[in-house]
Amino acid sequence: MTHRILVVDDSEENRLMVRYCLAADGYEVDELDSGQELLDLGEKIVNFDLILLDVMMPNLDGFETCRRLKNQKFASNIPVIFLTAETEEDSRVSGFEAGGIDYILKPFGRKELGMRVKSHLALSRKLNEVNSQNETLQANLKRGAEIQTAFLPSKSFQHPDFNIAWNYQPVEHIAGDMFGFINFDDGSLGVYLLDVCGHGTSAALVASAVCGAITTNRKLMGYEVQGKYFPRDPSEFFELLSEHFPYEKYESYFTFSYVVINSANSSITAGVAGHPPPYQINAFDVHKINVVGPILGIDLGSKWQSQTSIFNENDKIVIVSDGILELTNEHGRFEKYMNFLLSKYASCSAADLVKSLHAQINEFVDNGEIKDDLTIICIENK
Amino acid sequence: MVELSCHLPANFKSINTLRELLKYIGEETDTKLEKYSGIELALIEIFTNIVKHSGVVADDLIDVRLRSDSRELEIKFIDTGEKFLPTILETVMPHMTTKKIELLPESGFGVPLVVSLSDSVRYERKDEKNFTTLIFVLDED
Amino acid sequence: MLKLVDSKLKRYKLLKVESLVLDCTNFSEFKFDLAMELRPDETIILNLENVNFVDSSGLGALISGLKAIGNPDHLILCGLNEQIVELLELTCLDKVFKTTKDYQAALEEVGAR
Repeated sequence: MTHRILVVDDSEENRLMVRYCLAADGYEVDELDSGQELLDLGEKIVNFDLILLDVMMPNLDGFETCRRLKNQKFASNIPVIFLTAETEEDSRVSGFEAGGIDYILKPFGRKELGMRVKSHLALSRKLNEVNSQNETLQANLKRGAEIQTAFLPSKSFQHPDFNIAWNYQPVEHIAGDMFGFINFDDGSLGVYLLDVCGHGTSAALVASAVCGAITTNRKLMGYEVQGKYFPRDPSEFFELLSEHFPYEKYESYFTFSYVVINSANSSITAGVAGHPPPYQINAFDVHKINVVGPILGIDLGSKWQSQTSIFNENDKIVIVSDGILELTNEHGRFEKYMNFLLSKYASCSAADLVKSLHAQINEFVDNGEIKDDLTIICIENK
Repeated sequence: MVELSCHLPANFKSINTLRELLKYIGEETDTKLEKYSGIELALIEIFTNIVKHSGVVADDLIDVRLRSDSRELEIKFIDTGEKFLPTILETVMPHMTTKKIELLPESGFGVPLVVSLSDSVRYERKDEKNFTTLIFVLDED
Repeated sequence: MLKLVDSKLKRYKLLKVESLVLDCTNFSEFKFDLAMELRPDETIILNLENVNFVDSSGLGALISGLKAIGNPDHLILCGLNEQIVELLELTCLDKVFKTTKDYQAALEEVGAR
């Protein structure tokens, strides 16, 4: 994986020196010549894996630049190494206070620069992993379900174009199922259901970590063009997600069901990763959307699909977690009844559909044991 | 005359299958279809157009039929989507050179491209299905 | 999908498109990645020598890139294969986009060599 390094120094000579030193190690090097320009990059800074920042610069020095940079949440994880000729202890301390993580004294040798950069890139990767693991561990130990509720949509979530209803029933206090809604600037609504394999504490931790990543790293689910946020195609989203969460990270596999709906275009684009696809109810029939895709966490080499179809007024999308489809009683699996039940409730409101379906599930199980998280989401195009 | 037909699921994954079909029919008829780079593009544009805009639903398959001898290649797409406006085939390539950069369109080239690249494009609506036929005249080499 | 090959601050940035196609399957990723690279007054040289197929969606993404850059002199496309050249000619965009045969010629244009 190639890394992108940004060097900020007002002297062209120094920038060339850094470039020369790092080029041989295969890094992609970009340059800026002032602190202000670094700050002007805004969120584009996340494109870089490490920043080499000169301290002695006119107008805005390295320390002040770093202080201001680190005040922004999106820049909090990027390692900043100062380049300076200063040797006084005081300045070195200011550097760390300003948010830098190391110092390289000028003049530096090629080897030294290369080694420091390499070390900090490795540390930064490790740190990010440990940070998110720590966060979820702590949070779960202390607050369990509270964290999950924080990621879930508020009960009053609304969208001008759609009627939305859901029923969320984890089998334990905390769940491996989570879901969410994302608003995009083109009027689209993204709806996702995440189902971590297994349930209970460890599944819930992974689910929270993934949800956390989705909500804080907006680049996963969408992209920005000129300040506006647009949805990615589900297959792209899954590719990015699988890069961020390989099995080794949390020793977990997880599955996803994701749709992007847009009322103005009357369109729905759906994608799944190892999960049964959503059901679409339109004026004529009820059917499962025809998409498949591998589970997330394993690199099977096969790519994810996405399917775009028409989503008219009064049509509905129903996303159910696989826990529901796999419920079994003496008559067989609950999945058999889905088409029939959804046809029956096709003309109900989204809220009534969810309520009725939930009632049917309870009847089906009939005091038996529910072993998995159950989630039902219904969205109706107004 | 070689004829191939295939039902392809209406999604972007089928694009590679479409390419393979084209390559195969080129081999079977011993014509170097790669010479005609426009054919591949035209086929893919029609296919993606159907996937994106005809409203074909997930369970639907697009019926693709290729017929070729060394003089002519005909490809027919049959889909069960909504009726296409026949006037769509008459759309002109959006004008580029007279506009300011900010006004350049970012979409709408698909169909005009197909019309420019093919020797003939026909559209028919029959039995609740769309029939889109492209014909390419091949040089006798 | 863009590799930063070379750059000179405030003059140019040479980016190589790493994927084999630029089409309906990846055009939005391209748009995003390109947007991240743009700096005011810098010429972007886009090396498309790896790309062997561009469709109308890919073309739309290139136009979107051009619009984001704002000045047609600040974007140079190079390494274009026959398919892409034909596509640009058919859409009359060959008169809008600046192109050179390869990245070396583009670098000469921006005075890098």
